[in-house]
Amino acid sequence: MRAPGRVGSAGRHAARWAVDTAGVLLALSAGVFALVLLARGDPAAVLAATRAGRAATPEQIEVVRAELGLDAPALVRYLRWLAGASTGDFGVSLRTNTPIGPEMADRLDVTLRLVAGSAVVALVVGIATGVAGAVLGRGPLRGALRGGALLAASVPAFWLSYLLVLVIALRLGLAPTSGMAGPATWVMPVTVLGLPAAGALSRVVAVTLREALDRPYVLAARARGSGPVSIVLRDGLPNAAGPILSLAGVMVGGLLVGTVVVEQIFGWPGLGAYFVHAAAARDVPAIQAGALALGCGFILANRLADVLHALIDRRGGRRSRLRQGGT
Amino acid sequence: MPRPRSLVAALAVSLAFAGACSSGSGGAPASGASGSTSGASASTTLRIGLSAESGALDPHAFTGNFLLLDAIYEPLVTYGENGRLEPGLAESWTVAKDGKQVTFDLRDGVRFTDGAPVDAAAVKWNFDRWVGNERFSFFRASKVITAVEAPDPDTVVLKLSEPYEPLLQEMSIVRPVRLLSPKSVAADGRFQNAVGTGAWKLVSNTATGAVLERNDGYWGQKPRLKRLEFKVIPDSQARIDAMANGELDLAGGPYLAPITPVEARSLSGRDDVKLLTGAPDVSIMLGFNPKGPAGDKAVREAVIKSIDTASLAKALFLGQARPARRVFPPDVPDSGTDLRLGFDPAGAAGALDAAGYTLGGKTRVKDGKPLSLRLLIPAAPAEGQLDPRTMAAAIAAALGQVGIGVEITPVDAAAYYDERAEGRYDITFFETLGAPYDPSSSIVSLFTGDARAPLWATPATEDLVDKALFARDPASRATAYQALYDAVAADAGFVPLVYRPRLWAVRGEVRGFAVPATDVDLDLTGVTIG
Repeated sequence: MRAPGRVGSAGRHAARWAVDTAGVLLALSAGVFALVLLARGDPAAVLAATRAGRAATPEQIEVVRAELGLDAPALVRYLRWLAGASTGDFGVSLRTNTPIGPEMADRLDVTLRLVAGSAVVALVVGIATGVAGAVLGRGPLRGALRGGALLAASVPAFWLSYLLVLVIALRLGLAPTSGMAGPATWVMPVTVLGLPAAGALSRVVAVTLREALDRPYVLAARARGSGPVSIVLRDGLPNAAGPILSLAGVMVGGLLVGTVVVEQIFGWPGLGAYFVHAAAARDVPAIQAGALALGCGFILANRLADVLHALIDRRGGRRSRLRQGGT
Repeated sequence: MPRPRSLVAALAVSLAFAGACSSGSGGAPASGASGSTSGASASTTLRIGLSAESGALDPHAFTGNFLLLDAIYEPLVTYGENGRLEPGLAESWTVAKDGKQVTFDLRDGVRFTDGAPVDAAAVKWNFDRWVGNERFSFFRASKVITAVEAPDPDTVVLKLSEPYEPLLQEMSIVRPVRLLSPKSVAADGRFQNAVGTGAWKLVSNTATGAVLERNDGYWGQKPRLKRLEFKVIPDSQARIDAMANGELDLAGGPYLAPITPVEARSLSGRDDVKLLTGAPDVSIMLGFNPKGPAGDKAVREAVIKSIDTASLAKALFLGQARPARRVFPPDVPDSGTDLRLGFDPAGAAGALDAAGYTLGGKTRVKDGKPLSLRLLIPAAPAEGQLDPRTMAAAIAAALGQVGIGVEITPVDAAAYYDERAEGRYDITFFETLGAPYDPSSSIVSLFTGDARAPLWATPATEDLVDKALFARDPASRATAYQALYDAVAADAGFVPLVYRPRLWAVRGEVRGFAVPATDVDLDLTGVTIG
C-alpha cells in the first residue's frame, strides 16, 4: 500500500516541478522580450544598415520591418514567438539568416563542454585545496591556501585570460593562443572559467569540513583509531556535502554566464559568444532563444543540486539514526 | 557596462607585460614562441584572422563576410587602384548616348566552379534575383534598372529608367551584385552552395572559420597559394596575440580582422611581423545638429578652429593617421582640393566673443544660457571602426579650452545610429563609406535630407548632390563635386578630423602581399610564403 502512495507523491512532485519550471521560463522569456522592446536600437534599422553596408533610409527600414513582421503589435509578436518556440521552432536569426534551433544546437555543445571541463577543474582543485585548508593546522601554508582561494575567486576572467595567453601561449609556446582544437587548447579556457569557482568552493569546503571535523563523533572516530584519510572521507566530507552541492548548483549558473567572456577571448563558437553577437545586432529571436537556453541551464543546474542535496540528506539522516542506535 | 573599460585596462596591462617580455629577450633575433611554426620549407597555405564568423555566403543575402564573398564571387566590373574601373567578367561595356542603356560583352569561356557556363542567361538569372526586389530597394541600381536582357549568350543589356552615372561603379560592389552559379540554389530558390567564378572556391565554412582552396580552372591569373584558412578569433587582443605567436599569417582591414593603432604599434616592434598601411579611403568627421546651439554658425566656426587635428592624428592614432582636410581622402575619385581649415584657438575665441558668448568662469554664456554641446558617441566601436571614446575626450578637452562645454553621451552601438537619426545630439562623429561606394553613395547619405542621418543637408547641398550624381562628363562632375564641398565648408557644416588608417599585418615569411584596393577586396594572387 505504501509503494503506490510514494509513486503518486513523486509524480505530483515532478508535475509541480515541471509547472514551476515552465512558469519561470515563461516569465523569463516575457521579461527578455520586454527588455529588448525597451532597449533603444531598432532591429529593422540595424538589419537594413547591414544589408546596405551603410546607414539606411527610413523607407528601407520600413521594408525590412514589414518583411520581419516587426510592424505587428508587441503582444502579437510575442505570442507568435511563443507559439513557434513551444513547438521547437525558434525562427530565423536576423543576423545570420539561418534557423536558430540548429544554429544553437551546434553552439550548445561547445558551451556544455566548456562548462563541464571547468566544473571538473573547479571540483578537483576546489575540494583538494579546501580539504587541505581544513586539515592543515594554523600556519603559513594554510594562510597561503586561503589567500590563493580568495585571489582565484576575485580575479577578473578577462585579465586572467590575457595573463595565461602571455605566459602559456606566447612565452612558453605550450598551446595556441586561441581556438578549440586539441587538448592543449582546453587548458586556458577551462582554467579561466574554473579557477574562480574553485576558489569559492575551496573556502566553503574548508569551513564546513573544519566544522564537521570538530564534531564529537569525529573525536570518537579518532579515539577508535580511524586514520585521518578515513576520517575526512567517511565522516567529514559527507557532512560537508550539503553546502558544497548548494554552491555547485549556483556555480554552474555562474560558469554558464562566464562562458560569454571566455568564448569571446578564446574564440570558442559557443552559446555565450552567440548571445553577445545577437544582443549587439538586436537579433530579437536569437536573444530570446539564447535567454531561454541559458535560463534552462540555470534552472536545471539548481534543481539537480537540490535533488542531490535531498538524496544526501536522506542518507545522512539514516546514518545519524544508525549512529544514535549504536551508542 | 564596466566591460569595455576593463578591457582597455587589460590591454594596457598585457601591453606592458608584452613590452617587458620582449625587452627581456634583448638582442635575440626572434622570440622563442614563433620557433615552432617557422620552418625552412615553403608553405602553400595562408592562415588569415577573421573577427566574426562569415555566415551564409550567399551574395544575394547580407550576412556573408565581404572578403570571403570577394574571394569566391566576381563582378562584371572590378574596382582598381584609385577608383579606376577595370574589366571583370565583362570584357568591355558600352553606355548608350542617352545614358539609359548599358551593354556588357561577357568574357568568353568562363565557367562557374560547378561547370555551369557564365553566359548571358546566368547573368540575367543573377540580376533577376535582386533588380526591382523590395528587399534591395536601398540599392539605387536595383530601382534604376528597369529590364535585364540577354539578346545573345555573350551579351547582357541593362535598360535604365534614367541616366545613372554611378551604375558602373556600383556594378563592382560585393553584394548583391557578384555572380553566383544558377545551379547552386535549391528548386525553391533557396541558397545552398557558395559557387562562383573567383580565384578561390569554398571547401568549408563553420562557426570557427572557413577554408578556401585555389580554383585551378580560374580564367585569370591563378594564385600561387593552394589554400586559405580563415580562423575566427572574436577578441581583438587575442588576434594580435595569435599573430605574434605565428598562428596567423595575415590580419587587418576593418571587415576581416581589425587592428587598432595601439595594437599595430605592439606588432611593429617585432622582426617576424611586417606592418603595412594602405592609402586611406575613409575620413572621420565631426557633424553638427543645426537644431540646437550648433545651429549658430559662430559656434560651428569656433568648434572647427578649436580642434587641432594634427595632434589628434599624432596622439590618438600614434602617427598612423593623417589630419583630414577634405570630405573624402585624396585618393578617392572627385575628392576635390583641400579645404582652408586650420587650428586657430584665438580665432575660435574671437568668433564666439563677436557672437556674444561671454566668458565668465569655464563655460561661455549667452542670454543667460551656458554654451554646452552634447557629444553623442557609441559606447563600443562598431565592427571595423575605431574606439571613439578617446577621440571624444580629446575633443571635449579642446573645446573646453575656448569655453565650450561638452557633455559626452555614450550609448550602445545599436542605439547610436537611432539617436543620431533622431537628432539627439549637438555634435557627433560621421564617417564616409569607403571604396568602392565612394564618392557617390556617401554624398547621398551625407548631404541630402532624404538620408537617415545626414552630416549637413540644405536645399543648396541637395541641389549640388544631384548635379554631381547626374553629371554627364568627368569635367562637369568634378566641378559639381568641388562646388558641393565648397558650399558645405562655407556653411562651416562639418569638421574633417582624420583619414582613417588602413592597417594590415603579415608574418615576415609572407611575400607579395599588398594592402588591397578596397577594404572589401582580398587579392592574394601574387602572395607566397617562405
